[in-house]
Amino acid sequence: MAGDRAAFGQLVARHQAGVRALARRLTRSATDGDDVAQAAFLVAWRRRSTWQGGSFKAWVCAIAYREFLHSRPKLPSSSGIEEQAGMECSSGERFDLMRAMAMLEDDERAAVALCLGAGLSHTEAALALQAPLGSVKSWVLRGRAKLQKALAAYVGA
Amino acid sequence: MPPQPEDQLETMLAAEERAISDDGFSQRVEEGLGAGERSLVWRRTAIYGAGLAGLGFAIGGIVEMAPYLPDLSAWFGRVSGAVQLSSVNGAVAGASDAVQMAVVAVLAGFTCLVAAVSLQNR
Repeated sequence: MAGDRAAFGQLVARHQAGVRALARRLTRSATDGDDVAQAAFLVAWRRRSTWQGGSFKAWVCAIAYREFLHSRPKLPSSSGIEEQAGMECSSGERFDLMRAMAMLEDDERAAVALCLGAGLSHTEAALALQAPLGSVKSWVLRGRAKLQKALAAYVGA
Repeated sequence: MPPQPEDQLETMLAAEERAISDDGFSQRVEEGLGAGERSLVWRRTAIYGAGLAGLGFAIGGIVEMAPYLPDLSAWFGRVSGAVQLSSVNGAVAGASDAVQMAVVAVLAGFTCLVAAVSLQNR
């Protein structure tokens, strides 16, 4: 049991940034995102016996997305970009990225955050989002195009 | 990674992720794990305890209580109606008997067990 806890602690330390980044992008808030990420890790620990191998990060990201959906009614409706920017963002580039992400549709933002941000495959993202694979691919494509347009100055599109 | 044309979006997203320092997050999760386990232990103990106490009380009181409790035979669709024929000194008409109480006690205990196992996985 203690060994399990220690191993899980190492996994948390290794993946916390990725899961928190995902949760912050979903919630558009640093504090709400961290709450969602923490809840996701706690759920992952309780349900560790159900993990069927594969990518731990993809598994926790899927849990984080469900936690986000679960907590969304309780989250404030206003965007927390400024709050997130104040804590973490020191460059205009990153602030513009957050703003561009915030302008995406919910499905597009989730798909982009999972595939381009967290590095999940389309299949893993489809499982996490519980959506058809084709829809996920469309959301990623549309989201990517919108981001490229909004961030043309940085991505050189 | 899904095959996509190269651009700097992934680089920008990765840079944003790298900018997130741990700043005690892992420690808070660790503390949450401990608190969650303590909660689970208490919850499990309470559920098992209540189930066993109820089971023991029901079984232990079968002989003394059965004649004075309401008729439970309707709960079983009169399948156990025949047991009402048993006569105990002081028994009231239509009262429960020991067999019914035993069945109810076992069902209650089984329900508590299922609930405890289910809650452990939540």
